[in-house]
Amino acid sequence: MNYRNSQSWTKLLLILALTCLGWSAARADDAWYTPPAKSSGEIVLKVVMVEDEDENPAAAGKQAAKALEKAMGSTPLKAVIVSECFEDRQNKEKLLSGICSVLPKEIVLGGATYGSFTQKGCTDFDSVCLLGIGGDGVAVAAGLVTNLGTAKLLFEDHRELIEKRLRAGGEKLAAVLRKTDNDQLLVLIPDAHSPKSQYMVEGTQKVLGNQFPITGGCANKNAGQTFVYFRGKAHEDSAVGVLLSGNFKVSLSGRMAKDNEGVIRSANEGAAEAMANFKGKPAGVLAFNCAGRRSKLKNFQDELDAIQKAIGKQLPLFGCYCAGEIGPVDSLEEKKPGVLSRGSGWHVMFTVIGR
Amino acid sequence: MRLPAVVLIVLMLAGNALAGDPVALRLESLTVAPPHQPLAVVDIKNLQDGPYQGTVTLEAPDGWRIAPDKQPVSLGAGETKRVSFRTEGGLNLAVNSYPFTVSASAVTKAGGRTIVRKQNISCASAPYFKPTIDGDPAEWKDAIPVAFLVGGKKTVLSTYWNRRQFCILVAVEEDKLVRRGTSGCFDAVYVDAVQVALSPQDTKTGKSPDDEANRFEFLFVATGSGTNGKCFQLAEPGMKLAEAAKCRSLDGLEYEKAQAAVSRTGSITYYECSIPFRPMRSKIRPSEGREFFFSVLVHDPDGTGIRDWGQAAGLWPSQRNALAWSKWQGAKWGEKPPFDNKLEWGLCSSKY
Repeated sequence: MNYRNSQSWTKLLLILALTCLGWSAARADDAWYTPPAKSSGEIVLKVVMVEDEDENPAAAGKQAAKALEKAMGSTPLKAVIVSECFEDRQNKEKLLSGICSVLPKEIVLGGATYGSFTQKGCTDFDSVCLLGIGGDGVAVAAGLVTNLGTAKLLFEDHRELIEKRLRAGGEKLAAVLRKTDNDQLLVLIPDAHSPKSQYMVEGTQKVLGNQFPITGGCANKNAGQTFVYFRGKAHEDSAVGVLLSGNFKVSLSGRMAKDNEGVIRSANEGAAEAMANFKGKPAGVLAFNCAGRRSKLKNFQDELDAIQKAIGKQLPLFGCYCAGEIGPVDSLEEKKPGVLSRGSGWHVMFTVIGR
Repeated sequence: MRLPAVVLIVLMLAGNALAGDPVALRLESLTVAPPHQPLAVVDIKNLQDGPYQGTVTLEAPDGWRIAPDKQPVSLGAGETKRVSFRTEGGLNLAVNSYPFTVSASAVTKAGGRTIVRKQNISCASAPYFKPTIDGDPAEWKDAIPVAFLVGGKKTVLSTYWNRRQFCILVAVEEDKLVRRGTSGCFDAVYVDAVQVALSPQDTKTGKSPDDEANRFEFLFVATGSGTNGKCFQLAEPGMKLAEAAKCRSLDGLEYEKAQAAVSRTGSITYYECSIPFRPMRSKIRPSEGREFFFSVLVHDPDGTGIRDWGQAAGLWPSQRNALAWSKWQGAKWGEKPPFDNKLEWGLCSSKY
């Protein structure tokens, strides 16, 4: 069997597996769910990143997808979260088509960001990073809300309307994500940058509760670049939620900083705190970081080095630079008693996942 | 008996430190929009021969919060430092002008002398956008305009960026637009123009002609008729400052990779230009939040003379530097050299 056939068979088997396992679609704006997790099943998180040096986003997408497929080995993928920073819709769609030429488009989710970082480095130009989530020990519910009605509203001019619409959008999104006793983490990717994002978080908390762990990052807010991804398609003025369930634990931590030294120090402290509070064996780390923090760094790598001092260099690390971050806020002014996660800016939000 | 502390208040409305002042103060332009909690940065220079110890205090416009609003500072003789203050609660104003008051109080046994500077600062940042360079200013409503007055005439700087280009719209209020080459003699006649310099963050302009430039410097002029415009590259990093400071003919300095269109509506001349990032990318990387230096001279030889953004942005008189800008035939320079070309600017996300 040649390599191409092998890839086609893998893709076909993956789709069949998802179908046989009871993967199903529901209608809200859109949502899908995998079957419940097995208590002792494995949890597999893998991360790949590809920088495109040739201005060929489709090839970059395909390369990243193949690398993820290889990294997952025999473990079927349940969801793939994309962070990408190609410029313009046409290039983003080419990238998605490249990814979906290898992986089932139904499970491809995510958003446009300002770049990504993994254990292997940081990118800010024509790059894609994929987080693969798989294993019997994790279940995924993914939802999409569209037409939020806030993409063209300015916070200073339309604050009340933004608040109303995003709270409603957050509540609607959380409502379509099945709530079970095993739900552990919501990853929220809204086209609603800081400070708008706080209202969407509050909407989800109406359904999930104030103490439910929520993390995530807001999509790139640049004109013509603002997209979230669901079922391998780009959507504007929308939000994606990915609810992870199973017999595993999460530990969240967030830190804010606005200068070179502060960004480096706070990244180390936040990562160390998330690791210290995690009692078990970590399977991976999510880090939703602020693009503004990155801009204060004299050398991007310095912040990654600081993170690696806390989490080591072996754990899968899915990092992206966002237009707003969701998690435990650091600022005293923004903290709210009894509320775990909020939406803010200038933060890096860490989540350690494992058992 | 100990003498009571003497506190002198000196208002530095024009930004000129008075003779005998212990320090000079300046607020840098904001590089992040007010709702995104920018840092407010105060430059303080010790003008004394000996060390200076004191406290810098920042007062914000109504509705803003500064926490903490006081910070200790110690400076050696002649030393300059940047002191950062966290801001919260700021909102965008359409005029993009924010009134701050900064003061420095010396700590001495005999008491403290307080120097106060009131300064309106702007958010100097380029939102992400891809305009068409055609001389039509209609696409620039989502930029962040920075306006200043010289000789009663208004100049408005607007900028956009994307991965490929840094784009500039300069709206110049002036009685007449003088195009290059209208008399048939390209270099002998004073012409209207916009001269810009971009430099990486943390660079300083040299003070010796033997030093190397660290700026990318361009000139935009109106040519021919209609919206025709032309760009010339005057300097790039590595060039000797002495060479850039020589008065050169523009012939041979044409920079075809840039785009320029110049239009005129009523009493306003619009210079709409774009400079490709690719040749600058290793020095100034086009990414969100990037900070760098961007400075502008507007040449209005038959009107106000040179309009210098450095002066409007509050640079100190000691920051004039003849080596900071290239000389070219067709420019009419003032008696004093222009201010330095290291003015804070940022690349930010789009408005919405």
